Amino acid sequence: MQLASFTVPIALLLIAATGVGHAVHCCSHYEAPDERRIASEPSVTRHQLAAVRVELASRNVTVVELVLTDVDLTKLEGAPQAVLDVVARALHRQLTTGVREPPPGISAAMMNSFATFFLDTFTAEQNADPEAVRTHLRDWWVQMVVGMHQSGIEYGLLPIVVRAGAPWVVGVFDRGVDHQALAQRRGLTVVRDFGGGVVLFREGR
Amino acid sequence: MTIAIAFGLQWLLGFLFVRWLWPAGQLAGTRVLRCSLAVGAGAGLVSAVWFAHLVLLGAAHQANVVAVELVLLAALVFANRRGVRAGDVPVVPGRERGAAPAALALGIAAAAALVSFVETTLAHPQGQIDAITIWNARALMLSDSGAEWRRAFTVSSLHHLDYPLLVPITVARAWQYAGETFLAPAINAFSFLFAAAGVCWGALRMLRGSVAAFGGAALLLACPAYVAVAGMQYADVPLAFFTGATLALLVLHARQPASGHGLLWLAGASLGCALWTKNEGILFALVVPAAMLVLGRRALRQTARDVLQLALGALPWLIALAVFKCSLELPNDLVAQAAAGKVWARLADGQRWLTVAQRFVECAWSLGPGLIVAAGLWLSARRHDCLRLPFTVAGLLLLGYFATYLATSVNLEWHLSTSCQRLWLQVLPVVLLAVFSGRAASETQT
Repeated sequence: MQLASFTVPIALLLIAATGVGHAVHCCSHYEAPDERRIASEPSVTRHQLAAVRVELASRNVTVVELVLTDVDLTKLEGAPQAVLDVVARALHRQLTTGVREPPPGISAAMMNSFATFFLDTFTAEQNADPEAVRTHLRDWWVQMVVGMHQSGIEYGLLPIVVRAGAPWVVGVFDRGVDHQALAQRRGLTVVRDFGGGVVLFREGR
Repeated sequence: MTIAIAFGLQWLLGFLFVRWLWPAGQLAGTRVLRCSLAVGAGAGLVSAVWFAHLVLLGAAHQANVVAVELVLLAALVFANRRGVRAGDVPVVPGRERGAAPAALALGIAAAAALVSFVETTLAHPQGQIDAITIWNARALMLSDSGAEWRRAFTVSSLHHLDYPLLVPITVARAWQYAGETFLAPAINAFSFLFAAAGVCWGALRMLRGSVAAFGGAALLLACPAYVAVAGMQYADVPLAFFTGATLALLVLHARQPASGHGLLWLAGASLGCALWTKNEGILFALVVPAAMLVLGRRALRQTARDVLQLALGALPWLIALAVFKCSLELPNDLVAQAAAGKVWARLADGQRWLTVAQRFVECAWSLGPGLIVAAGLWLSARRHDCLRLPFTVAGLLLLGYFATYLATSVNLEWHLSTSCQRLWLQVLPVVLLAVFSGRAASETQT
């Protein structure tokens, strides 16, 4: 009876503590949207691509092709390289021995998801080769990063829709990339350089 | 200012709609419940009106939409002219032992939820992954495309084209009023986050008293995943609102069956809005009548009549969904995967059962170990007369989700890791309604 009279207050205490704990966690991990790089955060992307949308709308263009800075798949240096090595080793061990030991910071569910994808996608011989596992993981990783980057830019352009082969081309590059060389190579005309790595091209000369 | 007008008018429409259908009688103690229900009802009404414009007139021009909303407002004001009669809706007496600490817990949880929500919104003003690729992306397409609105459903880079439109249209309509601002999806998410807690509070206050009401609402707002997903601007929190509201209205009707069909129609409207919010709402719409019929089998004729009234309430949104799905012929990825074959082989795979069961438990635990323990403690102290309908509906919904994971061919681990926790959130208000509706053994004896 004594214990029962305490259960509700303890429950309320646990509830309040959980809420406060989450709020403190949010505050301590808060990061403001990054304004330095385009497409790092969709709100920044939409702001930076606003002029492109206006320009395209004034020309009644609803579909564009998107060109991004090429990502060099071999250039994963420093910390990402080390993380990749650790995850690739754990994944190879899981694929070959079934031992599930996810590295710190990677959940068991995520490792299982990686393993399922590898088993469905690659041959047993490829999954038995540690170097092949590492290469496939790196490619998949980079593809995922590029995909998220592209999703952010596509969101920034809406309601202008991205479709391969469209006559209007929007280029979103890292600062310093020579977009004239790209235009030359693909036979594009630069319609307007908006600055910050954002350029509008038109097919043909 | 215009964004306040957009959401203010939306809420007012919802409020008058709820007030119109609310059974005549004593209204004291139901104010929070009705104000909270108005958030969902308003979103349901304006999204249906907007969609009707798209389908019938080919575009939702603001002047037309505002005119129809004002006509609807006038009609609802006219319908609400009836006076408030003294009546028979039971309200548990206000003062209750232990209410003050419970109220304090709710205050702390609400303040924490507010801080967490604002932090998440400031860090990601346009929402996160699904908000960008589905909900807000669809809203942008709808708000800017005019007569070309069908383009919103032909862009392959936008995911899940067949997802229903309550959330995107609510945001698109607000942008039509105020211009494109991150405030629109953020206000929408914020409203549903706190309105769901308001529904829990209001319903439990009427059913069981202040302590249970404060406890249930506090647990919902203290749930880290619930607040985080609201801040990410996903549609799971609006769906959670509608599942909770539907069950709250149904159990209130069950307590007062002589109060007419108003609560049933409102429950139906809420169920219709669930359908109109996410595809999981379709499963919910099948599960609720099934649970009602199973639990009400001893009075089957009456239960069947109640189900019919429920369907009547849901009808406008059911029609909207049918028109949306049929006229645009949008494929559903899960249905396509199931139809592609090997379903029986997947269902017979014991390892899949084990994996799904394990993840279900992990995801429930991840809602907050402290909260699970708190709910367990609460149940241990007050487990008598817990409501059976919400428990049954929650159980059937989770079974349906479990079966879906088993049947579909997508990478199971990925599927579970990206959605399982959010499915728990969708049933969370329903579970809370059941858990916190219990009473202590001593109360039962008295």
